[in-house]
Amino acid sequence: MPAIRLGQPVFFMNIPFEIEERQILREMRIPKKSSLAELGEPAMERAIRTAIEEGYRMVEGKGVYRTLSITGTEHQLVRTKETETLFVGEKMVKLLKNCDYATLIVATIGPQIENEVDRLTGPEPAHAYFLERVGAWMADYMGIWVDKMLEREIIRAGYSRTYRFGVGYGDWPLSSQTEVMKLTRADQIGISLNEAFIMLPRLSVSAVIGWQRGGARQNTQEAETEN
Amino acid sequence: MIPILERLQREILLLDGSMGALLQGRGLPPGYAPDLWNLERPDDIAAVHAEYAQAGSNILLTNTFGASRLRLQEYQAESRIREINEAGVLLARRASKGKAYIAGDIGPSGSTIAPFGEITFEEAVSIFREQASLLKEAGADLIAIETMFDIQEMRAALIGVREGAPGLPVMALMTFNADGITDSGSDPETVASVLEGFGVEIMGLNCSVGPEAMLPVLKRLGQVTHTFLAIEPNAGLPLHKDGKTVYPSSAEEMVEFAPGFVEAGANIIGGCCGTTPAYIKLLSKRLKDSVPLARSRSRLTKISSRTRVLPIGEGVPFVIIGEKINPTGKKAFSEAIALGKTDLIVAEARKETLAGAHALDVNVGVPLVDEARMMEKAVIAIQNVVNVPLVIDSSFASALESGLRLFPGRALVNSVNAEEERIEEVLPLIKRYGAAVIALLSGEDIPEKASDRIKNAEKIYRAAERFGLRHEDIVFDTLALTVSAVQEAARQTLETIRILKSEWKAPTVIGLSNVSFGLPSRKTVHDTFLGMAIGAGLDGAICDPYDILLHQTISAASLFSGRDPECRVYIKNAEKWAQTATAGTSQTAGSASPSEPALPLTTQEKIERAIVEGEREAIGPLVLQSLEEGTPPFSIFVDQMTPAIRKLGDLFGQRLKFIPHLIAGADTMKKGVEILQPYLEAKGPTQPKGTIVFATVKGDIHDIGKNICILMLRNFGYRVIDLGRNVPLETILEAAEKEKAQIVALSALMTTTMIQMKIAIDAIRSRNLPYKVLVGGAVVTPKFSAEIGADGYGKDVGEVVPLTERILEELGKCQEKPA
Repeated sequence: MPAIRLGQPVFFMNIPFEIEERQILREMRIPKKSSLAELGEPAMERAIRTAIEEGYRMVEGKGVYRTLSITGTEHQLVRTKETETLFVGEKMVKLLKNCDYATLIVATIGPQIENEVDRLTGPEPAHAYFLERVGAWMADYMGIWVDKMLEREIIRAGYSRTYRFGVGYGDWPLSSQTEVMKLTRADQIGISLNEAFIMLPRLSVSAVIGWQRGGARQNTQEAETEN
Repeated sequence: MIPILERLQREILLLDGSMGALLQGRGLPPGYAPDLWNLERPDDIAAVHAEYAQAGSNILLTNTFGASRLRLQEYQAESRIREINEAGVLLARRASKGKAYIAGDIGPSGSTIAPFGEITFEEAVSIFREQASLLKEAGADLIAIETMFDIQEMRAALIGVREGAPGLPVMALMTFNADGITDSGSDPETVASVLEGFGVEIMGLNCSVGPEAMLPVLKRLGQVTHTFLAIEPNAGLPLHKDGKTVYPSSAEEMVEFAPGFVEAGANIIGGCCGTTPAYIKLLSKRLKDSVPLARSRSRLTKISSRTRVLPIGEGVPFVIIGEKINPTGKKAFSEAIALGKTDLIVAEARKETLAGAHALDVNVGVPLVDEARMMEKAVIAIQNVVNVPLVIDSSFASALESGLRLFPGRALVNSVNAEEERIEEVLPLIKRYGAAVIALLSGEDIPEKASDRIKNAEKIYRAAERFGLRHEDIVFDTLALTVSAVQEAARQTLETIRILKSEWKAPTVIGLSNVSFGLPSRKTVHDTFLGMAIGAGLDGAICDPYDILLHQTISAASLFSGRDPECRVYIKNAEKWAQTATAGTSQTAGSASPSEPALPLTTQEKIERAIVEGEREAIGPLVLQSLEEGTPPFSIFVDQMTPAIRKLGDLFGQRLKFIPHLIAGADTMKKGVEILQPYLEAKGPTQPKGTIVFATVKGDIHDIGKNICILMLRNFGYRVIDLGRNVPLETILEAAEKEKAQIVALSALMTTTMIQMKIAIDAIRSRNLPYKVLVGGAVVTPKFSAEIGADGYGKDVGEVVPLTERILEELGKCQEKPA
């Protein structure tokens, strides 16, 4: 059995990516369309396509995960070898109670898109919106990408994974971001926090996934923290 | 002992099984490094080896899977790396009693490798080189690289092993997932092409999810390579029962897959996690009379990206290598490269790939630019966004090397020629990085005659053999010379292709564009030449992938050159060209929109359509046209644009248009209003419909939704003071007072920041301030809005204008009432 990567964060730089039209349309809440061609609206198609192509030039996908060894669970607290203060709240206990490990995930697309969105907001608001939606999906994409890499490791080790649970979600306080960033050394992928514990760049995601002993895999679609 | 590669020609050899599971049975604690037991519990290690040797293993893997410097660091044991690896070999050797080959076992580094990961490629190479060197010094017969999840790490390991243990055969095993691809997305065909490039003696797969899922992967490897194949399945995925790790498949179940492995081409069979000496014993019995399957050698040159393989040669599709990533003659491109920017390179890579290029030539040569550094950046940026193989193109060996190092596949290098100096600097790089190379048939000069070009080809082949390269590693460029300058030389190019193809079976490409230089209608010239060259046997071209005629020529010529069985590709392409032609015809007929009616539209109707369809570029000329037609500016705003944006709002309400349409329409209207503005101002100041102070609350830095709402409100004639994001309460209240606002609108996107809305409302109420408060944002709900006492809640941008209108109307009614 390949060793479980414990002790250190595992970094991914230069994550390859594809910007799927279907996902961008979904992100823009345009229903029942899976490609821009299906829109049948040349101006809209052109505008979204331009944003997608700009996305290809601006996205810099990076991610990190760090697996922590769970040592015990008690009322509203899950202890690990590495931290006894991070995993708090009823929902967290419910998530991790049958788990041997918990992995923190952080991913980002870098600052370029949001800088461009900020620049365009005044002069070209529609373009800013389209580009922002591309960025929002791609931040999710990077989180999902790191999640998939981890999922394979979890499966090979004979575990099943829980859903992704976002920092600040439910009763897990957003202030936990500070410890998440520290444990994952997320500064190495260019992420910092502002005074309200929001990740900068904004187009970043953070979450935890548990390694369950046996049992059916829980739904993976649960939200993660997206700034 | 007979050399292992000799035995593999006629015998199926058996590897051993799991080491870890047996050591756990002997008391190895979970999480403890098994490699340390080479020193701490040598008798246990030797005993496990002996069990496998007695069971019938012909090859024993040393207990050094995690004995690289990086992995040993995790246990603070890196200073003992030599002892651990030496002991690993000696213990296996002792237990084998001279009857088994000893494979020095190397596992993954435990880290991720650049450009994908955090440690540099050369750092990774040095880690593997060190371990391989120690294993060789200790007397290993071969090196086994196992359980690699990423082809880039395997590349680093292979370079390290070749440099650290020269002369030893290498067995390179990747781990594939249940879907038949590796963690980093490589399929078996891609893996085979990369490993063949490095000339590994044995390739295959280990670990993974069990024998059933691994068999199809082995079959696919067997179909694309003649290299010896090895497979080490695990006994299914582990289970965790009562604090112990157990594996579901029994030795009896596992051994049932062995005949299938042999049929798929396996030359070496063993086991991975959860397998035991009992399994090896059964395997030995079952495969007693089995002989390895003979597999034929392919003459195709295969290059690949991380995820896709591209064969070049006879009988496979003609290869289009995009030529556009090249700064020659492109000012903007050169300037971007000089600044170290990759955005134009990425844009071109995307465009070329979408246009049908199968591989991309990457040339970033700009005077005074650090080409090696720029090549690195370009290769990283391109491989992030497209999945075609790259052709690394430079006259500098340093730039070639930085590209080869970071490209996580098998690259083609452009190029070597018959000059000694170039051969000496380029071919060692091809060998080290397992690449393929384009060989230009020029030397000190460019020979005119085919026979002289062939002499250069012979020279390059001889040199390639000297560096340990195979003929399949070389793709010849027969030199497409400019026909207007040297007509006979251009004809000799075709003759050279014929000779190389008929007598040498060698793959060929040409750089196409030069051939037509200096002539009118260049496309006709080089596309015709291309057709003739394909007829002569040409396999690929570095060319302009945006040239539709070129694609048509290639498709048609492929029909006559055995590259398109049953004409399927041609027919499919022809349908595509027909669609493009139809679209082109309708565009030239002036149809800007599929919904355009047959009758000509009035300017007002065109303005409406521009706003409803979000045709931002169209609105300016239309507003000017309307003004020219004598429509008063205010009427254009009130009677033409405002109804259009209201119509869009109605369509939104009916779910026929969506938020992006609203935003595009509002942006279009904004652009139209900007044009009208000077005309409206000339008529005197206009009275705004109301004043709104808008802010994203303190702590929150999201403002795209707020900005779009402001855009909508301004289009409807409201005066909006945009305070931006992360705005403190006092700033909001000061602005509202100063601007005499009727409404304070607050936006928040985080559950943690929406509480600021309550604080703001409480402050407004407690100070008896006259402002109505609107709230909105992704996390805000009607319930929350009601709980905090907001005057209005907007679900999305579609609601902001009606909501504002309603509140101001109510406010107006209140103010009309007598006190």
